[in-house]
Amino acid sequence: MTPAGLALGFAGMAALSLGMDRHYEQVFGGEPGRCRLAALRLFGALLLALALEPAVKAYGASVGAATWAAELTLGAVAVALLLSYAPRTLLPLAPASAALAAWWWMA
Amino acid sequence: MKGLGLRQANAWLHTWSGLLLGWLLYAIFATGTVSFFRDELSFWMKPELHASRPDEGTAARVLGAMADYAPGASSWQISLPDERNPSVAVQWYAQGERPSKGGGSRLVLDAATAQPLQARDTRGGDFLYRFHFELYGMPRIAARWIVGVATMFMLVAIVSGVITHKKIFTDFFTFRRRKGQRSWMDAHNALAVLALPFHLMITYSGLLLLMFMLMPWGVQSAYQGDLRAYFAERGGRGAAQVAAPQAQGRAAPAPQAPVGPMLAQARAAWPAGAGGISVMQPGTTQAVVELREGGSTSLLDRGRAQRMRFDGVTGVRLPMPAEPAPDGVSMVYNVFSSLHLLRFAGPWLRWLFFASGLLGTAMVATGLVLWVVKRLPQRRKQGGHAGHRLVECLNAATVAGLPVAMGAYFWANRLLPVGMAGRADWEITSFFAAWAACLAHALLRSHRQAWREQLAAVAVLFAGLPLFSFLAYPHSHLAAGSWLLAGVDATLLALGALAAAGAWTLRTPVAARPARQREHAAANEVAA
Repeated sequence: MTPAGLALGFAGMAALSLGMDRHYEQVFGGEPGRCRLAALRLFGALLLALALEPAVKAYGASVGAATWAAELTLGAVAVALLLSYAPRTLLPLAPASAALAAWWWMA
Repeated sequence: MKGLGLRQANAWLHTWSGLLLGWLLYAIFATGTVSFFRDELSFWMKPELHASRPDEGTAARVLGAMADYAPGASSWQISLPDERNPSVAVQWYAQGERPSKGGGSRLVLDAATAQPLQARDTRGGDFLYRFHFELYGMPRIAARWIVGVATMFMLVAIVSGVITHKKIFTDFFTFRRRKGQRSWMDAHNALAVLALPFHLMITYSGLLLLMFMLMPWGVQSAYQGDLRAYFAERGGRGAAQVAAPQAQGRAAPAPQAPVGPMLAQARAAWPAGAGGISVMQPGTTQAVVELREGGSTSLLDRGRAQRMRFDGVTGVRLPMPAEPAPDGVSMVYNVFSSLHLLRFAGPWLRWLFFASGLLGTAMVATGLVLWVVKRLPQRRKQGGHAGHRLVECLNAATVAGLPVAMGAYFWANRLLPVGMAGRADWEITSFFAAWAACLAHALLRSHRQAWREQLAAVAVLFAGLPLFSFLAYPHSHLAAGSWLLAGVDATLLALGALAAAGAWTLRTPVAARPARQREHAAANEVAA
């Protein structure tokens, strides 16, 4: 498990979920524009791809890939639970988690 | 299934294969998930070993002590302490004895003193690990067949479930609370979809591990039934180890080279250092020391930990015969079996897999509950139904009853007298007695009472264990610096809390209860 990978997985999954009408409205409360949704999805996918890097760096290609998949699952479960129990907390948590990941990356 | 569309046909398949094998699959998933921490659990279940604290000098100390415990042995095998087990296991063979898995003499040593430790008689985590694929009390091969067939149905259930799922992407993150059947459906879907890579991987690799038994024909016809030849050619599992050098003539006693510099070379070459030491013809002029890599860094070469050899007298490194690189087929097999067995994993990845395993267990459990909840409205209209009632009872007795049985197993491990004859068997008897009691309890009580009381039992049993350890064993908690033991205790506490939360949500009176539990209550009224 890598902290940066976990944080990126969570942030990426959050961005992906916000790229969907239903969850966008839950969190932002307004009608989303198509462009914005597409951008969020693209950004989310990018973060998920980036999450592979710390895992592979720490464990090598094969073990790293397994670690990455498990990290994404945990991130997605966390996002699903938050969307159900406290959707608006995603707003501060997702960017914070992405920032944290960037910090770990630099360090 | 003429007349049904692809989706309905798959829904039918998913529902009934899931129901028929769901209870068995739940038990397989639950015990398998626990088995990710098999070594840790076995250690936790032997408090006599808890004070063992490895240090830099452990290996040298143990080698020194071995000369007293096993003088004149043909070989010593030493498993060095690691983060999963801080004690030292040693084994030795007498001159002329053929090394075998069950043979030789064994001791468990304290890492700090190299004194023998007398652990209580228990199967520890091994019982749950074996149960995961061999069940208990039946012929091994028959049990493996049953588990293998269940695993195939699991694969069927996963694939048909994905086909049945109407909005796999739209509902990806969706969990609607307090909506009765809808909530159970959402939970089942989310648990399945979010951890789908894990579910597919663990089920498929489970099948691969059993494949030589389930589908032996290809290998048998190509190798004329000689599986050993097949494995030897594959160079993987079961392949002959690199032959140990044979003693030539009479070996005279001789002082031995210190092991420290050898271990230093291993540490330089391998990230986890050496995990084990073998000494052939120890204490003689012909002694050879072999170090085995601890852990593994790639999924591709399972069962092929790197080795180094040294001359036991001079300490000079000896050449090792080169091992062939695994071929493509072996690599695929190795990747999947390593993922399943998790031999390579450090503690963090082990936790990730444990969490994924819990998600899988919960997925099967929610599927079973969903079957009951979905048929409730109809049952309510039509009155009692023996089949429905049976599913309710089996659900409670499996989903809540199995953890009760595990709790009973752990408590038996703590409470049975240490010197008792047949102690390990009594622990296992406690496990099955508690499970049988849960089934009887579920049959006697109403559906909701059965769930609530068994979940409460899980909470009390699990949460009580760390408390007992804290009071009874001064070495067994975090204050003594053992993260390993603290991890087991914290997990028991967390799972106990989860069960308590479940029992708590089932407590409120009918009128004040949200829809989901009203339906549970209604089921009881119907059943009563």
